[in-house]
Amino acid sequence: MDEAIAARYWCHVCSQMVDPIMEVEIKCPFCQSGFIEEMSSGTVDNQVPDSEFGSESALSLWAPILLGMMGNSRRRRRLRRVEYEEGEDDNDDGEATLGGATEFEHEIESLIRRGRSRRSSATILQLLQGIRAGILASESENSEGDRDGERDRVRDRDRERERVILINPFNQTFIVQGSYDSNNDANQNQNPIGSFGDYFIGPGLDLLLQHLADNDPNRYGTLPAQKEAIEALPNVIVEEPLQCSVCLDDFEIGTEAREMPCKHKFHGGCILPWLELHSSCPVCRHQLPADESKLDSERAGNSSDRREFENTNSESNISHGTSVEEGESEERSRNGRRFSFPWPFNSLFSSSSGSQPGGNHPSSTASSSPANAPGSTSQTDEN
Amino acid sequence: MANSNLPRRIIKETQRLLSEPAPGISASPSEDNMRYFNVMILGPTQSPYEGLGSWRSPSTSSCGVVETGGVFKLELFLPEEYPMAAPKVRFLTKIYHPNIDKLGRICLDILKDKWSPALQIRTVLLSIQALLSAPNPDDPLSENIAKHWKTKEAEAVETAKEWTRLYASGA
Repeated sequence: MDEAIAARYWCHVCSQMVDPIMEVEIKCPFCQSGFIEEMSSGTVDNQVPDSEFGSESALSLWAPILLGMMGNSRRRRRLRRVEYEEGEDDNDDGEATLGGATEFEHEIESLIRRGRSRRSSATILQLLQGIRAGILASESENSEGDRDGERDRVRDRDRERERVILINPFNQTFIVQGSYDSNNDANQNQNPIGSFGDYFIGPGLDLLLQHLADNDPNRYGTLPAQKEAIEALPNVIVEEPLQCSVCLDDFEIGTEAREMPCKHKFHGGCILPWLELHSSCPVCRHQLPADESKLDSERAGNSSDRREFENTNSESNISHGTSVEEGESEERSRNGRRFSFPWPFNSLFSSSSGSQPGGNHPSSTASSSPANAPGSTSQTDEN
Repeated sequence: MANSNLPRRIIKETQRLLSEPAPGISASPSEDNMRYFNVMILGPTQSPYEGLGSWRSPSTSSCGVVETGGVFKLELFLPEEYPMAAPKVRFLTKIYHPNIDKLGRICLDILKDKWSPALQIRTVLLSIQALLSAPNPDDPLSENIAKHWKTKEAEAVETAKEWTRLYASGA
């Protein structure tokens, strides 16, 4: 096993790490090509069994979650909260969920428990360190700041260095970690820390950086719409055959739709998640008033302000249609679903929560939250 | 993988892509990941990416005439956030175009800040096809190619044709 771990391979055709087929020649298991390079791994630490990370299923189960933690601070904030709650509970309640991934989960969990005073991303990172060499220097440096426990300092560090776990969106099997300056445009970013470049050169590196940049849906485009503007959108009764441009389903005649100032109509559950991210009409780009308060965080793609925003928001249930969602999330975590993210990221669980009956209808993204289903749009008027 | 929980919108889009493909565009989902599409785009006529031969459909994989170019392979992936976030699209076939870099990445606003959930796989691919007809060297992704395009357009177009012949043979 040690040898298997020591040898990591990079397929230049698939642009990803692979566990190659060792026959007469070494081949990539995906593309069958032999254009594979062994990656130097002098300092690999064998803390984590290779199989857990090498298996595609484990990765794809965890990919969205890890991505959520590392890639999007808004999600990360919530995630951490849930983890902390659970850490204080008896840990038994959450174990049965993910089948094959439970071992990995245990690892994470125990690390989280062990390192409660640290940030969860740092502990996860330590776990994953087993499969990546070379980041040790920056890690120890960082954990000093974390141990300090001073959130502001941690935040500042966040701004400087985003820790990253990355999933290749083309096959969802690839994870990498490293330091990343989130304020830079990743397409041109020559990694300031240097750890990416230690492992990936040329196309691989570029692709990784691009994926990194692309994985945050908030990164591009208009700012989120102002809450007041969203709340002011009238509910109208659909009287003519009409399709919702977001879910591509037809409205049922006589049901309610949310109408934008430009008169474009959508299911409440379809348009609200979009307006929480952006302020333009999906059809004609008509601009709703944007929430300028999110300017810094959204534009810079950096975490701290958004994290704060998320915090206040989730506690007071200000935003539309999320109140039920919040309750649902909490319930889920009690049920053993340990991570809950705000809409629309519920759909992140499509692969990881398959074993959980209920709440997983194979419906459109938009209706994955019952609270946002068109039939119940009226409840968004409650506040 | 994620297939068991595929949003209905993706299923709808996929069905329509397969039943009513847009002219010169084919997109078929991968068998093991319904969010991953193998895409082929036929170079638009009167562009340097135009193919002279026949168009081979990947689904039937039948081909008659010898192909001499103009068939560009792409990959398209629908992220979990889709349609709240844009699909990720990349050329797999090498192409000489000022808005497409050597890794196949595409500089196209609707894939970035102009994404809207009312856009679809089909509209994205049509936009990419249109980009082949209308290279925009003022918003380049490949600086060198853009420079070439702006200074010696005829020569750049010739190079693009040459690359089409060399790499986009549809084989």
